[in-house]
Amino acid sequence: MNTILFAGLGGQGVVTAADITAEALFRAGLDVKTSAIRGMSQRGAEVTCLVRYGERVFSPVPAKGTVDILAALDRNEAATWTGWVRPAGCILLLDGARSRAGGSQSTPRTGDPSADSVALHHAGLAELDPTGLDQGAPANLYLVGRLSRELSADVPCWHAAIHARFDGESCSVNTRAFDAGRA
Amino acid sequence: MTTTRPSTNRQLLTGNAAVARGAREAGIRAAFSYPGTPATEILQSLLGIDGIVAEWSVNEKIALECALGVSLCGGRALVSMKQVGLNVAADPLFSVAYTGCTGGLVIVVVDDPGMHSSQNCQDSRHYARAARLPMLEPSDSHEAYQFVKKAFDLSERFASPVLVRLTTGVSHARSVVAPGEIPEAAAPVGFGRDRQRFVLIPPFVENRPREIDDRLQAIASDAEAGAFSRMENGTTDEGIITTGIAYQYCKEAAPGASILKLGMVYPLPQFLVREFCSRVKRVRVIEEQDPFLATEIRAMGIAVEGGDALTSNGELSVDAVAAILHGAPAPSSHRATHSDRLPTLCPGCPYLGFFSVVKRMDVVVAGDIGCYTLSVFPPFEVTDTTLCMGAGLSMAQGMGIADPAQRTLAIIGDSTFCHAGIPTLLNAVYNKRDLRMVILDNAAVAMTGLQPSPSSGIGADGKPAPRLDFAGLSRSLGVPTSQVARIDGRNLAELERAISAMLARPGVSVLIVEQPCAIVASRRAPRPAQRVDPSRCTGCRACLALGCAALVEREGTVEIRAGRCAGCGVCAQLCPAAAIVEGAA
Repeated sequence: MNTILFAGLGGQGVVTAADITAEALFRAGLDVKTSAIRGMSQRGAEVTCLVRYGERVFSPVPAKGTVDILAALDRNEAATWTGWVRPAGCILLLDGARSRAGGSQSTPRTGDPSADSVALHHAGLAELDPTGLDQGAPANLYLVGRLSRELSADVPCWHAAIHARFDGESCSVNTRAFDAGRA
Repeated sequence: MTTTRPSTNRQLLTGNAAVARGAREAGIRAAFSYPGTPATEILQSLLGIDGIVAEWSVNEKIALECALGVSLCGGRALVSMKQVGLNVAADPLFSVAYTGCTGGLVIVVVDDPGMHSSQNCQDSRHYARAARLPMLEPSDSHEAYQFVKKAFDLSERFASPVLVRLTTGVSHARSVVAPGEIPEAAAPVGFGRDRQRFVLIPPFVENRPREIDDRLQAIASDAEAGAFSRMENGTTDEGIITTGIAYQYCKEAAPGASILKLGMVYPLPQFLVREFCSRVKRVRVIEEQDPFLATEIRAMGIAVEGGDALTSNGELSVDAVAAILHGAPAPSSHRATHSDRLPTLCPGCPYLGFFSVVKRMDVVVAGDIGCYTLSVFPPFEVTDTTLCMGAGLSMAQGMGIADPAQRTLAIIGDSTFCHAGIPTLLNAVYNKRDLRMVILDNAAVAMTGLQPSPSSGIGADGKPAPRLDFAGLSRSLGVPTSQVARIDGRNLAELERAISAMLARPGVSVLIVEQPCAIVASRRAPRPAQRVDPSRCTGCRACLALGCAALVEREGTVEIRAGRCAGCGVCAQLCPAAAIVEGAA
């Protein structure tokens, strides 16, 4: 049984990233469970989403310290959840991608609100370069593309999951962002 | 792994969507609910389906009573709500146990252990025992689907409404469901008159408690009802009795243990419990929230451990179950604590201006439940009380009795007012109380995801519906015309004048603050972002009092984040230097 933890802020597409990942793994023939956001996250609290997969999955939420991959769209949130990652796990961080208009963001209640000052200490940290993203490209799908390199589901499973979620131009845009992240 | 289609029609569904699927396959005629996290998506999943009337009822009591009407005419009906909604529906709940039902009647309640989005963490299993109704509890989406579908059969076999309890860990998790066929809708047979049964008056109900006891006893020993539960054989040293999401945690925390997984949590399948307990040396009960199962099993005369080592907020996890099983103190919460961001009102929210005005006033604010509850957080820190739906209006009346000199403002949202505020306003008028109340009318149930309400002008089906006239309603309840006012929520000067005038008046006053939810407004007609002219900004920070997340302090001045700004222009009213302007630089 493996676990991916998605973390970010309201409006960044964290839930969509987790949904597409879950659907791709499901289409690859695995048992999958997700634990969606709880509570008032729509109003600006942190957003997290867990995807667990394997031959048979029981709890949708893992024990602390057993997450294999943390996929984060915000440095502060990555730091928040680092303790959940197992020592040999990895953290994929794509920081600095703008939140969608209309979403709300609040200031952390504790800790340093300046995202740049948060230090991430994990041997498996891999920072993605947001400058590689086209203007307006969906950062969440770019991150999913990068994440897909670590997972066994084949590209057709991922593309099918994206097609199941988006229509028309939106589907093309998201597929391109995924492909760019996977490249 | 190159399969791009699942091998069957299996789907990944949330527990809530799975409940809806089970109800569809059971052939329901109608579904009723009031929005409330974590139960909202059950009804949402049933909207727009041919042959099913899906209704956002005005409150949960009405939802259950409508559903009983469908049932008594032979149709199957689903009612869904969050745990505190069941309190509102408690009055009919205790009585539907007495009337029983004709068409299958299933009441789904979603508990929120850990209080992710609720004011309390009540355990709704107590309602099953108190109202003498059977209750099922699934532990994943497929079971949610199966249990709900079978609950309708059970309900009709025993002519008893059936409760299904989910918790957040099931309702908001997604897992694999293997659905079946959706049947052709059957026409309800019509009302079968039976006054002895449906008119609950003393001469008719005398024998009902014993009949209900007999019915529960029959369910407790019924083989089909027993099939909701199962034994999983493991070591004979260690036995665990569990239910719901806690079962999943046990499977990870104690993979070798023998488990009795209870799918029916009331009445207990006593024969299964006795058999299981006779097979293992040590029996422990692992359950979320209250020691409900442990108490029931002890009442059977069986000594079990458990029920007293719960987490402080009632929510379990794999870690908590492991700790309990190893005799260690359970972790208090599995939430992260490093950043822990507070929820805020959205940029451009029409409530921002209102609360920035109220913050400057010396008033006690009796608040209520909705997005506006967030005014308890900085920068406003305005709301002084939040209890339950509609309570702000009543508490303000009580405060006026205790301390007539206190300046109290009662604040309620449009949907909450419809849900529980109308009789409360009437109470104030009739009893000649002092009540200064504000209806924050954003024309939606925004907090739970923009469901429509009687103030929206559209129905659950998305079609036009009569729009409630709050001013006309207030006048018809007896509020003097001169003390009812409507106002644009974006006009700060007018807001200040109107609230001040209201506070100076005795008796009942109603101020309706109108402006649609910012998310609705931006979808309907997006407005260009505002910007700060740096040559004019003096860095006085007056605009930050608005608490808008689009306004960010930067190097002595304020910047408006274009990606967040909704273009409402309210902040410009606060700027003494006229530095906030429309359009690009």
